[in-house]
Order: sequence, then structure tokens, then C-alpha cells
Amino acid sequence: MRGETPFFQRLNLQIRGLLPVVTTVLLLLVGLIPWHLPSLAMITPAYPLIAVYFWSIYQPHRLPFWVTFLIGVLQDLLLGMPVGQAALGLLLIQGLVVSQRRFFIAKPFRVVWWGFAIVAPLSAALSWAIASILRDGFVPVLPVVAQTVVTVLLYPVFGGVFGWIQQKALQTPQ
Amino acid sequence: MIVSQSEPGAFDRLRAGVTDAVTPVVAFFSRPSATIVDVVENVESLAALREQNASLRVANERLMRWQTLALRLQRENDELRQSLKVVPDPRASFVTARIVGEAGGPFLRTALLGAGERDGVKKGQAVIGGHGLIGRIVDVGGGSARVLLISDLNSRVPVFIGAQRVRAVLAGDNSDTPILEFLSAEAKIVPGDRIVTSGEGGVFPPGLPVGTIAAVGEGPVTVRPYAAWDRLEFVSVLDFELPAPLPETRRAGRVGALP
Repeated sequence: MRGETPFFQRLNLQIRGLLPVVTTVLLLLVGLIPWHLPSLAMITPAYPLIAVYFWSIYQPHRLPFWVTFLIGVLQDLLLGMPVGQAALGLLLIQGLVVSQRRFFIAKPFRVVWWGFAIVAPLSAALSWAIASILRDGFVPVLPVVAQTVVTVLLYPVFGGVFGWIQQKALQTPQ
Repeated sequence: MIVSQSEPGAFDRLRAGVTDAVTPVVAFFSRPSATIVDVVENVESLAALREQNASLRVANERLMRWQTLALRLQRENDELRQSLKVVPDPRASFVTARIVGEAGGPFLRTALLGAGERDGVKKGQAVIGGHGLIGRIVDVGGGSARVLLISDLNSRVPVFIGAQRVRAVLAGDNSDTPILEFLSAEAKIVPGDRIVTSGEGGVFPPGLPVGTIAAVGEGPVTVRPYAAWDRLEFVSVLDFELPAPLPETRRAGRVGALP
């Protein structure tokens, strides 16, 4: 009996530890669901960006760089983009955030949101530059700006959910 | 990234495999979303029932007159064809598939279909939905396929405009109203002119309805597609025997690379 508890505890912790990766992949799939809303396809928010940003601040060891890269590649494959375009954008965000996480870690939600509003356009600019180079011409800028604005505005929704998951499931094993 | 650009084929199998694996999951999630949309639409249409009924009666009457005219013209057309010994166009058959996923974003407009090779979907086939052209199949897996929508930046469709059959190329610009390229400056076109595929290049069958001219003036001529993309849940993939398919091109491995 005594020997079993640690095993199940370990298993439980491991499953909880996967939550950052699982939620990031789920968000990627959410982006693929057709919402049948007029004119909204163009500004489909960059959902995975939100997840990568949040978990890079609060649980960086549960979302290693190579996993982020694989999620980015998965996104590229699923959306039909050149492989690497989204992956690079996500890695840039994660690199930036992980290097600055000491600044964010104990700050109120508002400040973290502002941080996202600064970081998201950088990732968008990188994706835009890559897309433009690959296409041999400038891709229209307006949709990129619109997508970034929507993504930033949506951040509190998902940030709130992730914060809840973090508190309920991931706080103890620090 | 560089590999995917220099060797367009390198990731095709992987892409198809991954898409195949994920399609059922996305399809599962997309059902509730479709249901919610249905409910909202039902409530909306209930509110407008009386008004709609009146306008439908008028439309019905008008369409009945058109039908009579169309039947007469078809008979006449058949007779004329017979007397000219015209070789009939190959009959197109089609597969109807559900749209299970939609890849939007600032860089691309594609959709995932819940039908693939097993159902007879092939790369390069035209996809129509509602009343007009939607796009073209660019990737096929066993049970899924990817459609490049006509609004995607990489989409180019040769078309005829209006009764004069003016030639142009319909180019996606990521908005809901694609633009016309290579339009001769002397061409007389007005908003409302009908646009159909010309079949040039052998990628699309000729004569598929595409849309109408939305605006002519400063800047590019824009087109309003017949297919109301946001309202569609099912589309038809046309199996059309192409007279001369284009050879494999090795342009960069974009979604829009020709089949």
C-alpha cells in the first residue's frame, strides 16, 4: 500500500505537468474550428502565441523550447504554411519571454498583459517578414495588424483560464 | 523552412499524414460550433419570417418566369448542338464533403475537408459550394483534403467577365473580395457583371460561376464571390476530366503551387 502512493503521486504530477503542452496544442486546434463568421477568417487570432507566452512566464520548464518548436511545426503543417514560419515566431516569443521572466513573474495580471501587447507585434512582424521573403513580395500589412490586435484583446480570456489551471493543478509541485 | 521551399514535395506526405490524424479531432469540435451557428441563424430567421415570406413569393414568381425561359433556351440549345454535331463536354461528377476546419490568418486562407483519397478526392480538383467556385484541392490525405480558397494570396483563377467574355485572372488578396489582374485597360466592365471560370490552363473546368464585379474605379477591380463562404458547411469537389493538365512545376513549395 505504502509503495503505491508515491507511484500514483508521481503519475498524477506528471499528468499535471503536461497541462501546459496539452493546452497549447488544444488552442492550436481551436484555431482550426470553422466559426462561420463573416470576414473573421482573416483575423483568426494567433491562439498558440497566447499559450506559449503564458507558460513561458509561469512554467517554462514544462514547455521546453523543442516542444514549442514541434508545436510550431504542427501548426505550419496543419495550416498549410511553409514549415518553420509559425515555429520561428513562437520560438522568438519564448526566447524573449524566458529571458525577461524575472520581471514578469510576480507582477499583476495587467502588467503581464501589457508585456504580451509588446511581444505579440514582434512575433507578428517576424512572421510577416518571413511570409514576405518567401512570397517575393510584400504581404498586406493590415490583416496582420488586425490579427495582432484581436490576439492581444483575447489574451485576458485565455490568460485567466491558464491562471486558474496553474493555481488548481500546478502550484504544489514547484 | 529552407527545405520546404527548395523541395516542395518533401513535406507533402508528412503534411497529409498529420492533417489526416488531426481532422477527426477538429471535426468533433466543429460540430458544436456549427450547431451554435445554426441556432443563432434559426432565431434570426424566425424574426424575419414574415418579411422573408413576402420577398420569397416575389422572387419565386420571377424565377418561374426565368425557368420557362431557361427550358426553352435549353431545348433550342440542344437542337442547335445536335445540328452542329458538337462533342459534349465531359460530364463532371462530384463528391460532397463537410468543411471540418478552417485555416485563417493574415497569410493564408485554406479549409480542411473531411473527405480524401478514399472518397475520390484528388489534388487539383475544383471545389464549389452554394452558388459558386470556392477554391481548389491542394493537398490530399487518406480521409482529409486541403482547399486553397480563391481569397488566398496564392490563388490565381483564369476567368471570363460579362457577356463580352473579357479575359482576366482572379487573384486572392486575403480579403473577402478578390481582385482582377491582367485586365485589359479598354475592357468595358461595370459592377454586377458576371464572372465565370474560363478553363484556360486546364486547372478549372470552364464555365463555373465565380461571382460578380463588386466595384470598378480607383484601384483594382474587386469581385464579390457567389459562394458565401461564412455560411457554408458542405462543399462539392468536382471530378472533371481535364483536357491537358499542367506539368508539375517546381516553383517554391507554396500552398498555391500548381498541382
